[in-house]
Amino acid sequence: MAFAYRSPGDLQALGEKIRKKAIAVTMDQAESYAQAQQAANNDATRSDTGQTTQIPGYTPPAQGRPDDDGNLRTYVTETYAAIPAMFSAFALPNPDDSRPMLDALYSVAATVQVDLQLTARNNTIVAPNAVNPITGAAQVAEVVDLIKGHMKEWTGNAALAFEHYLENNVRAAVLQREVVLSLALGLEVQLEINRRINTDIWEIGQKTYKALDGLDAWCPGANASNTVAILTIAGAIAAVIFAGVTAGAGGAAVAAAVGVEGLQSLATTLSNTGPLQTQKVAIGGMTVPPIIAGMQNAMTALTKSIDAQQQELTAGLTRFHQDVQRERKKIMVESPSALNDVRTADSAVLRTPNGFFVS
Amino acid sequence: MEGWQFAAELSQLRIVGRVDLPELSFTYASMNQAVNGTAGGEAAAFQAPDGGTASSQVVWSALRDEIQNVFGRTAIGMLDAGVVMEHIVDAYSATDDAARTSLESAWANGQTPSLQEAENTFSQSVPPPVVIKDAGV
Repeated sequence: MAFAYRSPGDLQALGEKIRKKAIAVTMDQAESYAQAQQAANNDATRSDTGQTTQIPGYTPPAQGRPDDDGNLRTYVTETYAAIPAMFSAFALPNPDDSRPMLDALYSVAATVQVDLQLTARNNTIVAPNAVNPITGAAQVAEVVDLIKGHMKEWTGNAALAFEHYLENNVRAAVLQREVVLSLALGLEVQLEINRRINTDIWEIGQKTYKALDGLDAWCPGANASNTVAILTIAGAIAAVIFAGVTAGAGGAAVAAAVGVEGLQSLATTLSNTGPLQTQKVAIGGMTVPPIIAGMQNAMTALTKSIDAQQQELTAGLTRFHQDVQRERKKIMVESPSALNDVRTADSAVLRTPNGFFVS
Repeated sequence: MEGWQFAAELSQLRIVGRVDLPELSFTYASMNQAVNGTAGGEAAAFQAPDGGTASSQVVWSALRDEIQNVFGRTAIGMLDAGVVMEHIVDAYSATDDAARTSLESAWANGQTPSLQEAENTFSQSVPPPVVIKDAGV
């Protein structure tokens, strides 16, 4: 399903809509009204006896009873005041706005070594539809072949060290491409986590509102109003790995990043993660408080799953980074000292065995 | 080997130093720049709920810096190798007048003799400045 981004303003507005509905249902539905009266009276008693009130800072009204209609509305409004902030706390920048970062990484991968296989892709994972090498850049292996052609008559230790330096850079390109693709994949996963956070918090809000609306029906109180929020966050990593097998440049990244020369790809590491899964969280009840409690439980479940996915991604990236550091000398080819030794040499020195001369 | 025959080999080496290695440097520097460009969107991509930062950001960023530095240092290395090639050509030319005359004649007026077809398509642009991060390789 296509991703529909919900902005911070959208989430704030959804929270406000739920708060308004929660207040309205509480004031209209007899059972919820009675519960709220009880809660207001309890808080008034707590306040009078110096105990901590359920609503922070609550003080009994100066006029009237805590549970009369006007004061109760004030109490209920305070009770649900935090709902909009609960939703906006999950607000994130639009993950699709990060596409230029992915484009840049795929472009580098296509430059350092040919080539990324491109296929049609669905739109669940952001990835570029076309991957082109960086404009004006040359293929490293092709240029190295040209250089070797130019230098076929040149020999000496410095000349040979220089040729080995170039050949090692061609070999390193395979590993460098692996690093760049894993970097892109790590970003793909992060953005998918972000997309699912956005989707799931919206789902929680929609289902909460639906449950509240159920209490507000023309025949209130007859039945509990129950909904189920389906959270997708737990399948974020699996979705990228699974979708990547068949979709677009992201797919090519997964398929191509199979691990080379001792460098296990991030895709391989992350493929050990859990399956593509969803989590169902019930939101419902006979009155407003259990519905709001269900909403909060769903938010807690979402937060826990976000943490779990982040930890998996972080662990995968950490393992990959450690591999990269272990293989550092193959990835970063140092300039040969033999070449440095002739940087100021005269022709006599250049003609010695350690030099750089025509055979 | 000396004289005009040697000039032909020196010309080959000058192509390596003046055309091919700068092209490789341009390629690596461009990749360094492209990777560096991802830093601009990093804060948004790794923002966590409640305005925090995702735990993956630190290691992703370290990995990014590492490969960025690899490309940057390789770009510098290629350009430096080009300087050494040019020095070798100059060092031999300094002691072989016939070779020098023949070489400079072939390269006069901005000509670059004996380029391969692929080399004619090179951008021949000055490599962009590289950005080396403090952390990483």
